[in-house]
Amino acid sequence: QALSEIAGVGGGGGDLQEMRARPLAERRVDMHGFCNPSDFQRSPYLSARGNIANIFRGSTEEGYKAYHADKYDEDKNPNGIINFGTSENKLCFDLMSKRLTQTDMNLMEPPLLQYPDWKGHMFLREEVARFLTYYCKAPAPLKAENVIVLNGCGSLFSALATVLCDPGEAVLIATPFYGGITQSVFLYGNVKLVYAYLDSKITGTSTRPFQLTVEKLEKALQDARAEGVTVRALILLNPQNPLGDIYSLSELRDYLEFAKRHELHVIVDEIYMLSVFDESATFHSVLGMDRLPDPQRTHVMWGISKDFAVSGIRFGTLYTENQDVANAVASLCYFHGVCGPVQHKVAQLLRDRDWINQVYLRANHARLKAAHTFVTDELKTLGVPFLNRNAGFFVWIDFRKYLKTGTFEEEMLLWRRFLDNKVLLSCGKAFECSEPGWFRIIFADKTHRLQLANPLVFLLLLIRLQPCQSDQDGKADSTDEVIFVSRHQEPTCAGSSNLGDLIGLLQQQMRSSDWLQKNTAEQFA
Amino acid sequence: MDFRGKKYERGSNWSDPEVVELLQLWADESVQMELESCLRNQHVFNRIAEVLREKGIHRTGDQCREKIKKMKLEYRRIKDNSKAPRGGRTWKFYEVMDRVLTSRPALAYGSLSGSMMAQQVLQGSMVESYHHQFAPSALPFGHSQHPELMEIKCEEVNSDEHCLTPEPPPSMSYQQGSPEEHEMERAFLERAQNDSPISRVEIPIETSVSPSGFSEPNMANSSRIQNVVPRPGFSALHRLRKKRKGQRVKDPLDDLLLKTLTSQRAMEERFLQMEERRFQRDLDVEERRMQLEQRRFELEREHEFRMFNVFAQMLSILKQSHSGSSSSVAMPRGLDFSQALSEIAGVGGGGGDLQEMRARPLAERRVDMHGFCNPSDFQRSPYLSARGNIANIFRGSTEEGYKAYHADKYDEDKNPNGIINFGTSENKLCFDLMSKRLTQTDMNLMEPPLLQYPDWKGHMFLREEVARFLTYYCKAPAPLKAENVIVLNGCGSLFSALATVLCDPGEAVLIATPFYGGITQSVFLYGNVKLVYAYLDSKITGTSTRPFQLTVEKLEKALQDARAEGVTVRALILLNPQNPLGDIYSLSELRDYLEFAKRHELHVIVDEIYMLSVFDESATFHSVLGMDRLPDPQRTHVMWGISKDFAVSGIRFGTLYTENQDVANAVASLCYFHGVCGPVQHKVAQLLRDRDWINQVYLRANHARLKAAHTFVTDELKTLGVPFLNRNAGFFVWIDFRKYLKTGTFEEEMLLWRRFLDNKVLLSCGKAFECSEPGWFRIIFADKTHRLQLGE
Repeated sequence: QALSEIAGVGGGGGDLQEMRARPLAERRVDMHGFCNPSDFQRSPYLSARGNIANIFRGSTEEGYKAYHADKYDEDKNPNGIINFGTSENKLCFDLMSKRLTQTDMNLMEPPLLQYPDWKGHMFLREEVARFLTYYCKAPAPLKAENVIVLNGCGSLFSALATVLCDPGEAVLIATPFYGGITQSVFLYGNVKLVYAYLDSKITGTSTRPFQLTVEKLEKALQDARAEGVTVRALILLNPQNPLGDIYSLSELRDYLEFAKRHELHVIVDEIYMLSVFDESATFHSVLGMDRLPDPQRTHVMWGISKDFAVSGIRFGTLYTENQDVANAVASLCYFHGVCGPVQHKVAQLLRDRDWINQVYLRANHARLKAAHTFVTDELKTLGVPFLNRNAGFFVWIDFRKYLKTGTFEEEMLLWRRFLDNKVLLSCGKAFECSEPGWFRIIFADKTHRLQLANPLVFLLLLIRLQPCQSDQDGKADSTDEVIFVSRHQEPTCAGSSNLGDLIGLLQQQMRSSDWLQKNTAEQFA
Repeated sequence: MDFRGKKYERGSNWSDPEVVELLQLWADESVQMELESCLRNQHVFNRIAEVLREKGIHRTGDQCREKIKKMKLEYRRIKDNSKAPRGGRTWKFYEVMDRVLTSRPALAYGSLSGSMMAQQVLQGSMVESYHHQFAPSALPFGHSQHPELMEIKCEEVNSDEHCLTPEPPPSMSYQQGSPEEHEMERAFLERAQNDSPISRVEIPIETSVSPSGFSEPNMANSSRIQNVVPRPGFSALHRLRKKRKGQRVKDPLDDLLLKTLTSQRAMEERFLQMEERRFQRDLDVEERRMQLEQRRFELEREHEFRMFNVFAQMLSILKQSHSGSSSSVAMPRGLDFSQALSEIAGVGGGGGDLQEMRARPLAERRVDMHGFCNPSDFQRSPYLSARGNIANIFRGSTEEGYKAYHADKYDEDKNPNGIINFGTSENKLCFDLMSKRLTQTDMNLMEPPLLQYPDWKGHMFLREEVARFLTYYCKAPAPLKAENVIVLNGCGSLFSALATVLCDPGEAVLIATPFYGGITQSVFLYGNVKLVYAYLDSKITGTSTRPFQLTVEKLEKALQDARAEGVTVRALILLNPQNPLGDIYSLSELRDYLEFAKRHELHVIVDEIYMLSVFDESATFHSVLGMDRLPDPQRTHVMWGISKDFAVSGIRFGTLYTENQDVANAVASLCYFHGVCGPVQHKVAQLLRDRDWINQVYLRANHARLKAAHTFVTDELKTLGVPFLNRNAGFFVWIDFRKYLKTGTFEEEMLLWRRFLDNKVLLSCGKAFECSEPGWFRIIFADKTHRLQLGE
């Protein structure tokens, strides 16, 4: 009943304090992720920032690269790596490829083959304005002139950071957050992030773990200013990645008022806005607010990659009333252009309101919900705490009890152990989480792949990694927003030293038994 | 963006043979009946237009309707005003109109044949084209039609036999038709009218592809048997008409026809519905394409005239600016351009200014990067960072002309007085070929891997295809490797990424002027990298053999100057073929430049984006990838894209080939911001793979069209006495307007540019290319094709 929240307890606290105590400047060097720049051989062919770009690629892509080299494939590579790290909705390719190959999509008129207005073709910008007006429940029709179209929200972060901040200036963001933003604002823009660290403890004004409050934002901003860092903007992710949180209207208003007080731009990333898969949760777009506290400094982004399960189609959009920002971004759009024929496709897609409402969203939400239920049920059975939310493709899992000392090094080891065992997850460090031991798992995959991996993963975990803390019972804490089911006896295995053998055995068992047949996708669809 | 349903009011320029063709179709009994029987007759005229087009007469349904309307008015006018029969004779079509309209709808096609006009105008060539129209290959259902039928028909045109079988008015036979058949036809017509707009399009097309719809009477007479064979997809409406005629003539064969039809009616009805749905898709697409093609033809017909006007206009503008000096006389034939057209000698007032410019310190010169815009004019936005404001300025300046153009775009119909764009380097000659190729079925793939996040270097299948493509077209001595290929959304993005990973902020890249000015913002906006210029000029001196020749000395000089000023230069950019000059570098020149770069440890970025747009066989392009040995392979980076060579600037695709894996990886990490859609990657791979089509169809047509367009423009320039560089690559001609500048300053050049723009002609002035001599302009010739291509 009270599965929806977990209480933040455990060994992470000390480390968090330590981290907070470190000067901000040093912390921002961590931006490079798990990679240690000193390990890196500087290339004589590259500029300093070229080398950084190379480092970035080296680190953030480590798991991704391993995955690409040894991708799981039902037939061709059944022992390959299963990717639960990339936030991608793989549940709706059938619907999308069908829709995108209908005849209305395949148009190649000369205007589509010519250089467009770099803000995007007007027909698409008009369609986006109508689409956002409808789905964001805007009080008045949104205007096509305020819409800019480019090839993805990563590009948009890069362009916005560049036109809003000068090199070395910073943007405020609450952790944990989708780590890709770090490179998006830094690689070209040389803009840093200032973190407002959230944690899993429920104290004072907060009512849920990792709750974003104005106090925390204030604190982070003041700290940064004290260190001489100029903060130009605040980034809000709503629905939040990786937490899955959706902000209430009053929360949103508080954040926006805070930004207005400090003359901060607000970049609101609503890329998961249509991936709220439970009716019990209501998403509020800032574009749906009656009145924006500071409309000239509020910039909203959305894209189709998540909500329409097509990350391969590069399309992101910015809505801003500020024409200076729009024009400056437009001049960078030259580097982020979207093919004319693709602009046509996207416009056709967004226009097809009936199909979206009657066919696509229904199916997508049902499938997301089923997959989410599958994974969370699995976690409950295994007694692993997690945040139970209703948006996005991910579950934020608490593996802290499996870390002996509660450090990020240990977290990293655990992440690598998962990878060695062919499961790619994202660890909390990649989201700049302040507490070691949190992991993000993507559930929006085909159920059979989830089935193949999950029992394995968690069996493995339970065998290999005994909870380290002795006082488990104390963890349940006072709050009723707790999922904590780990008290039942974990299976132990004496011969667990050779993990490879174990996995092979398990996989063999699963394939030879009727386990997969019994647990078909239909069951969860 | 609706390209369909455009109304064409024009219809005045019909030639007599065209009118005859139109009348023949219109006068056909079945057509008359159909026109009478339905309120909305647009689809009938569309069908007529369809058939006309098969004969090489390009009119829209609207134009046909307009023409008929006008002819009807004319007929009424003549009939009402001058009752005398002589009045009719003065208009050659009167008699035909009269026959059709008085006996309407009883007149069959054959009744035209005896008229004087058919004999007058119906030439053998038309008969031939008539045959051609029914050639099996041209029509989906053509296989059931035999050319002999048409021959019979055409023979009849010249005989008088048709008059021997006068038919009762079809309107009567219509009434006589059995009730159920009546029902059916009405149902059919209703469906045709009530359907959604999309399906309404499909019906006329379906009927129009069955040519017998226009020639029933003849077939009923001569070759009915062949029509008994039921044809799939054949319009039920026409089937029924045939049946009625059968009843009228009481031919025993018609009984057979009746039975066959009756037994198949229900089945056919069902079949028809299915067919309709199936055809709807294909035809819809095909219809759009056809309409566009038709539109293209129409536009081109007036292109020559338009171009002539434009050039006349340009001449008058130039005269204005030249004022006083060369009053009424034609342009002074300065420079012996008529004799040595391939080159122009650099003469004129530019020299002094050039010296002055060179004398200016480099740092100051580099501030000019912002183009014609004066930053001080610019209102700094409080919402933007310093560089955000610069981005805004850039947009404000470089886009000035482009913006004006977009606000007041020339359009044949809607805005005939709008701005004509000779500024954007775009090949508009091959949209027909490209949209056809890009809509073929192999293109439209949406597999899950294409819809997922790709490797940011590009999908491997595309990188492999690019490697093969470049190996072939760059004549690489050994196969190029897919690992060295990176794919992103355009060469602008590639300049940005390369500048960023090769240079740190404030460092510089060396480039020779004049050059495509977009590079300035590409390397600066994100990268904060500046350009150092090696100024070329039109004087032929010392080692140079052509105007604006790039030499190693000039590169050395520019590099040393920059270093003396403390600027760190990291790379050299080479454009080959050169934009805006159109120069192609020889192998030995290339080797010299690359050796120079190697000596100074400079990276070389070679932009070969026009490599397949060398349109004359006399010129041979050499890619650096085709060189036996690169002086410094780890510092040589080659870029290419499809926007220019494949005439699709709207498809964002550029590619980098580099053996340096550090550079490749660093660029790849920026590729996250320059991603190309998965489905587009598939399309590009399919395109590049289709070597046969590229070589046999596309490149041939493209080069012929480019050459023709180039010839047209250069001929105009010769006539006007304007000197220019005569080259064989790219879409542009580099024109020398220096003699029209009084003082030879860039301010004057700017004024001239603006005067062109005010007169609705968008050109690019030399300043936009950082040219050292004021007065040079670039004109894009790859706009619309003119008549030369129509004959192909």
